[in-house]
Amino acid sequence: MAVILGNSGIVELTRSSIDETFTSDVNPSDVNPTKNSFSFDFPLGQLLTGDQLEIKATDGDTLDFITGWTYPDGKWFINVDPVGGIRLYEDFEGAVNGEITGRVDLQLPSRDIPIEVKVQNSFARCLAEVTEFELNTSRDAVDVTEIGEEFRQQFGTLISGSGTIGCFFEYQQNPCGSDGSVTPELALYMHQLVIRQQLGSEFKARLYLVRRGTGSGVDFDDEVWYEFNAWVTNVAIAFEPTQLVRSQIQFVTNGLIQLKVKTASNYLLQENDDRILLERNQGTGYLEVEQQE
Amino acid sequence: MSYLSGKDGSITYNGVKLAKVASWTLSSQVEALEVTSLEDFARDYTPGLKTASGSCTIWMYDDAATALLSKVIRTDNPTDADKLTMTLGFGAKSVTFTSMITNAELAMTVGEVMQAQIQFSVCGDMTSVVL
Repeated sequence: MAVILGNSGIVELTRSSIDETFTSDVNPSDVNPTKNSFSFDFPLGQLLTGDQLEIKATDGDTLDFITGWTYPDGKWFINVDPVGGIRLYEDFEGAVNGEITGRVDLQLPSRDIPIEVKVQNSFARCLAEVTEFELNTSRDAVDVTEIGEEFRQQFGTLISGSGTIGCFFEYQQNPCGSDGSVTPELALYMHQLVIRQQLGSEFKARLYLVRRGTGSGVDFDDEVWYEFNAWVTNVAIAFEPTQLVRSQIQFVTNGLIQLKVKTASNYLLQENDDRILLERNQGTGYLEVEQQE
Repeated sequence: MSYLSGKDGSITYNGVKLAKVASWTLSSQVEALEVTSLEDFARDYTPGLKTASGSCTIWMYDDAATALLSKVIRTDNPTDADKLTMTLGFGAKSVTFTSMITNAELAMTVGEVMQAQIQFSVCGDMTSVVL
């Protein structure tokens, strides 16, 4: 029997705005080709640095304020400065760091471009410096006891979930990640999310109970995780002398809650149905398979 | 002697015990006809007609509520034959009367089990009262 320790858990987030969209116009005066930034009318704080925006010209013409772009829509990561200027990037890392390198070139458009904007991310990133998480799943039970009965009878109805995530407060990306891993989400994003009024505070989460390569007595490839969409309902932070500053994020799940278990076999199956134990002499090895025609 | 609770309750109509009943109520009134006359110092009344009505709630489970619902939710016209002999039981005691179903309500709500709400009026005098 394996003993699962708390250090095997991680929280993976995917940014989302459900299907909420903004509509606005990009005017020639909104575009600054020198700084490769542009803007349009949106409430400050609704678009967050690191969001992946799907921008679509609703008149069907091209987004010609983007140099060399000949399509009516496209997806880019954004960096939003304090006065609402938006810079486009092809990658998340460039957007969160606001680097000049990788910034998408802009040009003055020939017309006022009516646009529709949606936050549409598909990449999952780990939430950094998580110290704890908790997920409660519950099923409502309706009392269907009828008169004349001596014991209560219950009928199960809807399933709901809620929980908390605790992490150290962090606001600045480290551009030189020592382990070369994908740039994580920071606690600051959750603080921004809860006050994002118009696009909502929804995110997609995976809470890993067992993740690949961790846990003694657990197969290397095993993974167990909860997957759900959730709304941030409460974010708390407190400052105390001598104490580390932590963020406490509370959420409620929205819709389906899935508990997924992946137990990849560590055996090779032979033609005669016998099995050979697949052994590794190091943790991060891989098998190379060549297909024969 | 003991206290009574929901486990001691029942509804019987036309000799058949109703299944999946969640609750019942019975409300009886006697009209007070005023006979106060001049120079009286307090209002005075004499009894008038008696009326009684009630309700019950039935979990929608198979055909538990069908017999009562069909007295109101129907395609043809109700007749005197739709009157029921109903007994509301509580422990060893009961009230028996002839009733007419006057209201049937169905409601489906997210997260709740469907119920039928039935209201009835007592026709004529009570047949039997053991309180």
